[in-house]
Amino acid sequence: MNRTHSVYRVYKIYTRKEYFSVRLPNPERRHDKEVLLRLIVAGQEVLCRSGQTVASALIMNGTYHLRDSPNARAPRGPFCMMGACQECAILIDSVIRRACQIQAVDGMHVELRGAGSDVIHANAEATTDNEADA
Amino acid sequence: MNRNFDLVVMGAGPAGGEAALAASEAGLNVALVDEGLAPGGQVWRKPSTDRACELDTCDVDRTGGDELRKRLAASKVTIYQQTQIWDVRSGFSISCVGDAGAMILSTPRIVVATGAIERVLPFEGWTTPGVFGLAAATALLKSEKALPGSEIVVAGQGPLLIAVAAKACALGLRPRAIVDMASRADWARALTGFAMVPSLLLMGTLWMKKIVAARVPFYRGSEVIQASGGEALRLVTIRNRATGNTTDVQADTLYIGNGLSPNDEIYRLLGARQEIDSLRGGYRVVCDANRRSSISGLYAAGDSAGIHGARPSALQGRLAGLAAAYDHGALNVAKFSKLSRSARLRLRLAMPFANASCRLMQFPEKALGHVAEETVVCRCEDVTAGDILVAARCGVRDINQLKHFTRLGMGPCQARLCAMNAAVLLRRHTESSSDTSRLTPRAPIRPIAMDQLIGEFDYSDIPVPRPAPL
Repeated sequence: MNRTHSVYRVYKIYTRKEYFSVRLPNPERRHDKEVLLRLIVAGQEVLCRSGQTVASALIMNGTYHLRDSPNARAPRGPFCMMGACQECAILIDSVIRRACQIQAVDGMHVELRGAGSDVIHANAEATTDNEADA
Repeated sequence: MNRNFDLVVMGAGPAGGEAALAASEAGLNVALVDEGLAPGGQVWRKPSTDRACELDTCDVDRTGGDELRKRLAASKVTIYQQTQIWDVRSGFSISCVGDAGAMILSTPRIVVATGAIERVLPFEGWTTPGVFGLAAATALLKSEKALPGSEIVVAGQGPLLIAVAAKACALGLRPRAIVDMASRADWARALTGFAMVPSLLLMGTLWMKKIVAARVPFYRGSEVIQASGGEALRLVTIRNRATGNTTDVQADTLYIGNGLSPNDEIYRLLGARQEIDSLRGGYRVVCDANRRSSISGLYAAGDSAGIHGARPSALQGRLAGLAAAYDHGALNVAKFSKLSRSARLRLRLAMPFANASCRLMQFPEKALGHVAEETVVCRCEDVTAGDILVAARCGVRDINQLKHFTRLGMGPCQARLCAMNAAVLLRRHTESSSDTSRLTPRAPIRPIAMDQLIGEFDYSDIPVPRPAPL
């Protein structure tokens, strides 16, 4: 394997009879080959690292306010980051999913709105458009 | 898709992973179902970005997780990652959805190792974007070795608080304040328990050293009473619990957590016997020394059966896996008693440390007494403490009634965050001593999309009965 890409380097410690191998971080490891992904968040481009979830890509970018609560229309953002609280459930590629559980994929479309009145409004508009077409 | 297994393990954290490995080594055909991206659960979470993949030799959680993932990859265990379990019927049939679509797993035996969820004491403004759980911070530190925010406050209680604060300092992100519920005396009391595991005590001491070196203002015996800012967090108000003095700290991000509670809906769905145990996060599953629960074929392991922490959980998982293998007939008595005895002994040695951590993390139920009426308790449905009071005045005596009156717990999180807090508030208002605090569990235990359940199909595949001739 390439010296500059492996995560670990194996060092051998010799004693009289045998040797132990110890894995330590590779000091020559480079990060510049890291792939950046492009998300489209509410029409704007957001860059993130591969391996990030959609929620972490957003919050590391400083976007905390992801949606409004459907009843009080109060601003909400990710909270538990492990899939329990559902506060980060927003439209990802036009399906409402928990942003903290979805791996970011290049070109993903993210809308900053979740379940509740705003989505219903969007659907209502769509229906009226269709009716108008008909 | 239907599949049969000798044993299905739910959750691939320390407990679930060890259970699956122990049973698989004994020769059982084991499936391991997990919601996460890779085995390890929350505590042994796999690093996901390149930056986080660098080895941190002082991090025991990291090495524990790497070890578990390596052993699982080499084992014969069938692993379903990113798969959500939404129903479990006795007997047992497990309904789940994953990338591969809907699945039903049939098995005579299950190990439930679904871990814990974080408890947070509600306070004014805790729904503001920028307020995160402490466990959220650890999840980000483990998977990405990074934390969002530039002016952060770390608050709550227990070892997690110190861990997050120290790791933030190590990233060069000096917290504006650390707010600890516990006083110096509480920590001193915990030291005797911590001393039982010198390696972890050393790690804790190194964390404290880092915090002291960074000169972070440390508010002991204090709590956060308000987070203000509306759409974005600006100010955190801290109150000293003894003197009542308040301090405002400017912050854009707050990490706060008040201990853990078992993620126990599968036990409740199947009706396994539980007991109230506030030290273990609220409820503890009643089981024998080999982790057999009150329901035959159901084994309880890890934090889902009562909070113990990673090491005891792994040992409980091993015990559960061994017991399942023995009950299946894959292990003889001699081998089973030999293997399980050593795990039980190590479990007993790990208990003082676990108890000391649990005591520091114990949820401050009394503090729920001065939650303001405007404070949101149920985040999904925006039900406030005042709404609960009104409902109690209207005659609500039971948490299921409270749900019908207020919609508390009807939102997508299915009462994971609010049920226990609401139960305490309701008990206070009604002054009842009976335990009427558990919502009736119902499938689906996870919000799932209809199209995921149905999957892709062709209209020609739908069996249409031939119509009767006219």
